[in-house]
Amino acid sequence: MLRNLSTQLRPSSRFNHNFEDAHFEHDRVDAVAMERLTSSPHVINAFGFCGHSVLTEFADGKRVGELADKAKKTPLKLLRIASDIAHGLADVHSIDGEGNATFVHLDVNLANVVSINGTLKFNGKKRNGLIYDGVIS
Amino acid sequence: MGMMDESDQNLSSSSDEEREDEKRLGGRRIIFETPLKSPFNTRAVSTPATVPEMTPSPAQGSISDSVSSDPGRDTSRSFEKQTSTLDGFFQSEQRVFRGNLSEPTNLFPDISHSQRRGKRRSLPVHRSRLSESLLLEGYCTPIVNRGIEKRRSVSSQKLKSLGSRTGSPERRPSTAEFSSKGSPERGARNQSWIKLDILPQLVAKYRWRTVVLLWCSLVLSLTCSLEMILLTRSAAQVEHFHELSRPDSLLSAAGLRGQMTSGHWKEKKRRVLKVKTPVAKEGSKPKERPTDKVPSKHIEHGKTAEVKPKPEQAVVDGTLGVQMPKAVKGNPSPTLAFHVPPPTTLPKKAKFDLQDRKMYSTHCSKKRRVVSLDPFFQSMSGGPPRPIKLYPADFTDNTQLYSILDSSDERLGHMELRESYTVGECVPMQDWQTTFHPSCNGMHELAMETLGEDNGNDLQLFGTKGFWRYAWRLDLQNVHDQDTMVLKTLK
Repeated sequence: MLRNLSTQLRPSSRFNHNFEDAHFEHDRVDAVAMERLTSSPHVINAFGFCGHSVLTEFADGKRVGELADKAKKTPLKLLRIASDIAHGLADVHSIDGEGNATFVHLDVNLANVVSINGTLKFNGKKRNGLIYDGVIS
Repeated sequence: MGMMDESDQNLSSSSDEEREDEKRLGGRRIIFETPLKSPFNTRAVSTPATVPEMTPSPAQGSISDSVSSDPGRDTSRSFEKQTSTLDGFFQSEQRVFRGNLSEPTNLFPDISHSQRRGKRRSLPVHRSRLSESLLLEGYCTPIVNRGIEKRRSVSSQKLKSLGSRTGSPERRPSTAEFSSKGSPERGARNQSWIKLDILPQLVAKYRWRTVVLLWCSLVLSLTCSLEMILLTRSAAQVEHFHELSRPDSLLSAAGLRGQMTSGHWKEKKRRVLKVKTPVAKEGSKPKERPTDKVPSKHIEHGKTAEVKPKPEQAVVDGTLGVQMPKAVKGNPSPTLAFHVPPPTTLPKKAKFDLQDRKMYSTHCSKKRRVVSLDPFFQSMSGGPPRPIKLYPADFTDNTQLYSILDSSDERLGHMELRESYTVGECVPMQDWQTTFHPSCNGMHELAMETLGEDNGNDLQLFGTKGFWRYAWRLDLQNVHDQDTMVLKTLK
């Protein structure tokens, strides 16, 4: 599949990264986390996963920065944005139930928050970390 | 006993048991007698037959009950010279200290009832010493008695100092003075002399027993040394024992490493050669070729690669046509330069609480889509193990490049290995952390070859700013609608 996709890229484009075991593991954790967090409305959903490739839902909304700029004069909208982000982060940390944080995002920023149908969702858990009995890996 | 005089024979309670006690105490009496006096002719000091009216301690009573009176015995000169009640007290104590149980226990002969009580109140230290003497004399071990003697000498010194303070040092003589019946200095000197003299006296008394004991000890020591010599294994025996206890078939890679560490690696090779050699059956025993010893100078410190032996050259046996490797002779057996220390802490067991049992259940074998990466968690799930067929591949992981690429190759610097799931005390908290749920079939069902054509499916690359992945917009035409998804691939 990647070979077919690479044919559509420019001829000069090559893979920047090798197929390393560590990268496979990072993508596995990302996919598994998204799969387990499909019940959360503030985490982006995944439809498929194989190796380094993953199918997720498409974020057609605006960036969070633009939404925040527009909502400067309406505090309720700002509060809504903050609430969505907070709820999404709480869902990530409650992947195994409340009070049982076994997973952390490790890369929370506005670039990893997308808007889908007017709802803010967390994305880009590439630098996610599993908490192994109190230790973040 | 020869040491007893005629008056002693009048004792009413001189039974055999008492005689044994006397015999035992007579040996102890040597310690406190002067060297001029034979220890076996010690003359016991007699005391008046009046039994003390003071209430003795239970131990005192038990001892004094077994003591019979002896009115006909002579009183020593020291008793006659004593004029004060204090001297009488010390003399009575000395009599008890010398330990003749056949004598009466009139401890305070020159003291009346009222005087005796007053003196007892005024001298608590002496009273305690007296009770010690009555309690322990003849019933305690020599070690304890030695401690008591030391304590008495210290207390006598204290008494001397007390007497010097009160101005009458001669009224408070020490125990050594009583035992030697002379000056304190002489008593102390005689005490040490007697202690050294006890051994030859015992040898003189028990001569034949000593000789027998010495002979027995000598024979025993010779027997032990002979057994040690016979039971000591030679180096060849130890080597054979290691070969028998560590068969090659049961060794894993870690076992081989342990062999190399302990220096038994070469012995294994030699044993295999001995077993497989067919020369013994033919009768013509060719000489064993000299071994290819690995010179020690080629073994560099800290390198494990030098542990590997050189490839053995095949030797064709003309009779049987069996290829025989060279026999390894000698034992260079290089050892590893470092040892891997055992883990300091044992890994803890993970406590799992499955959240989505329906989704991740391992019991529904048909719909199960969970593939466990770690066999430990697969065994914990309880279900039957799912057989996974492994297909051989020429290239599986980047570690195969270690022997191909040069160590200075930059490609080796980009390699990243997956960290272990369990490292020391860090263990996964949930089983989903070590499992993955791939849907590769669904991913490969996407018609990638027809994407971008005029069939309604489209693929556009729109995300190139990510560090790890490209993001593709994927438009798939369904029957009723068009789905738009994002396909992320490795960058």
